[in-house]
Amino acid sequence: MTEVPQPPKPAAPAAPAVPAGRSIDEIKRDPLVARACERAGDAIISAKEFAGEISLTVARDRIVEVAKAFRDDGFNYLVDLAGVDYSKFPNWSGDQFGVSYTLYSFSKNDRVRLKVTTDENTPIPSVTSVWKTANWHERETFDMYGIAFEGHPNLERILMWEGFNGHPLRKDFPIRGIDTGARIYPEVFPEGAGPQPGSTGKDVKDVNIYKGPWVHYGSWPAAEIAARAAEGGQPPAPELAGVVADTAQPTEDAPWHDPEKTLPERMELAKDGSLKDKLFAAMAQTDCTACGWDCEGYAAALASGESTDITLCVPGEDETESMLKMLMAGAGK
Amino acid sequence: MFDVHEMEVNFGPQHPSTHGVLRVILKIDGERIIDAKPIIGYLHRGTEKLFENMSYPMCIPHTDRMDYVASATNNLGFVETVEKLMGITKQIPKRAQLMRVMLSELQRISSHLLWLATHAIDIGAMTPFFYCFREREQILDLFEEYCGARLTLNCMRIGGMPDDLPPGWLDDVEKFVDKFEDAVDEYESLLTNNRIWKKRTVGIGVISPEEAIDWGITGPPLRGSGVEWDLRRAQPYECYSELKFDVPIGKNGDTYDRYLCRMEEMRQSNWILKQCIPLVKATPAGDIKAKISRVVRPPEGEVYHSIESPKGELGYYIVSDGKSQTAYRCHVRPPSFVNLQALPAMAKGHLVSDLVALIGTIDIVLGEVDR
Repeated sequence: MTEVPQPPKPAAPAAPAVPAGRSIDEIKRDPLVARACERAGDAIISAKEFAGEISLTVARDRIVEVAKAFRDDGFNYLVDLAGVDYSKFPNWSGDQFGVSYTLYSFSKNDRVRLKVTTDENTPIPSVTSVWKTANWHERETFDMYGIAFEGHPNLERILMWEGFNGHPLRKDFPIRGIDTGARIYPEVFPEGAGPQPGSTGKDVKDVNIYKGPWVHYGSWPAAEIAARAAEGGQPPAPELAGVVADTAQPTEDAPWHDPEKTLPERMELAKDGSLKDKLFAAMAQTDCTACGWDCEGYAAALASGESTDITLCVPGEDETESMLKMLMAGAGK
Repeated sequence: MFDVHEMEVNFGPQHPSTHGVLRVILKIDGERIIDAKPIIGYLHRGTEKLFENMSYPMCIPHTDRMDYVASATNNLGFVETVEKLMGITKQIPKRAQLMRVMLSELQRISSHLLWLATHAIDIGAMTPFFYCFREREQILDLFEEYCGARLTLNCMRIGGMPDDLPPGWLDDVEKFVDKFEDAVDEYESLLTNNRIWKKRTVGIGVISPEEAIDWGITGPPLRGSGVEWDLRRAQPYECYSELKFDVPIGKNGDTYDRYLCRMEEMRQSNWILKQCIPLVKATPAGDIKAKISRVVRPPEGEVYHSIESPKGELGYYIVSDGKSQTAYRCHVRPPSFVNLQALPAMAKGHLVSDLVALIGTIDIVLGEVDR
């Protein structure tokens, strides 16, 4: 079949356009698919043509029968098998998931596409008995969409790891990922932190809030170094440097020193305080020592002019930086 | 449970001859492989998810990073699929088509050179590596001259090419193709009749044509089994129908035949390049872009389109909702992924050292397998 791509349609016709091409019965009589359709044509629900390619939608429970009919008619090469999540497709009313099988016939030198739709819970019969190559393709579709294939010899995840939570190519899976750290490092990440499927992605920052001790090789709290030097001892070993940091507790003097609170909450608590208090409240409150001080020390250094670099607070990210910038500008520094 | 002689060992993922991060769980009896189970996904970056979240032109650099030793063909497959979706395949100017063909044939040679170098070094032949990289370097220089990049080229656009050829580029290509034929002879003189090479490759990993098709194998591994099928010939895209070239096929479907096929393919690609040079010179300079809208918003529909990449059939399946400038779904059919699936079938009964030869002969790139 020669390739006759359709010209782009004019912009947005109000009503869904009547398929300009051939009807389903005409497509079934196309020499490309006629023989296979004779055997299993009644399983074909609808047919479509686009850009010179024929797509046939097949009843889900009869896909193996149709696949065999096509294979016996020369379509012995399964080119591709891909899942699609239609849940965000405009004006879509069918099942949530679709699976496309692209077949190729060496003798006819042309391709045909079979399509099956399903929902989250209904498995599709596997075509691994028809084409061996379907094995990995179906595993990939299962991995990415959670579509189950009945009769598959080894339906495991293939690209994601075993134990991964979620199916990445579903439309409700956030592009920045979900918190898989909680599953792998439950002692470090709180369960359920980070964005969840269906979230808007605004909570994604939680992924980076590391609640455990921070270990920063080569940067110590200034106070700790001074204390050690005064005692004539050595600076702490790199592995131990973070241990001193795990002291982020709200105190009477600094009620905002609580990593659980949000920045506006902390600023509210510190609104009557001195510049140092406000700066202190703007920090991430993790006492991570990435800046070289604990949170209070950094705030004091900024307030006294010992440091003028407002970009050092790593866990606070842009939020802290812009607040520090505002406070420093307000104080005329 | 296990037979007392059997044991299970991990091959990779951190092993130099897995060509990346491929892990194979081997069940072996002494040195003989009883079963092999490839574990992939270590390099999964969610490329298809990214495609759903960026406009079509923004996807092109991401295609570079799939088969990162053959990025020009990845670009070609993607832009052609979008062009097919938009129905502008026929509008691409001749000069742009020829440039695409030239870049992808240069890329095919460079990909095959990398394959030969690493395949030979895996099997134990050190010398071909240096010879192959000598020529590959020249090709990368040609890429650099054209688009500034050597590996991730991002050298094609929907509707044409980003830039015209720099002055003198065709002469440089001419200099290269004149010498390259001799270079292939040189590689062959090192390997083709080498007794050790033959002992390590003849009869290893035999796969019959029927089985190859059943496994969906494409590219040189399919042709090595004796199936004369090349997408450039079967479904010519760009201007391949006007160019002369042969499709080399093997007889026995073993590692040696696949080696011979790829060697001949390099010669054929060289021949195609030779034909292209006068044809490009005959086209008007600067005519490299179709006159299409700057905003790529294809109509509602779905297409599958594939090209012959150095590894096999590289296909893209794009679903467009007709309303946005973003693909609703873009699935990549990577040849390495599908070809790798047949590894257990090929490896059964061979020695562990042959597995190294088999991974080399399938010519996988894990960036493409895992996407």
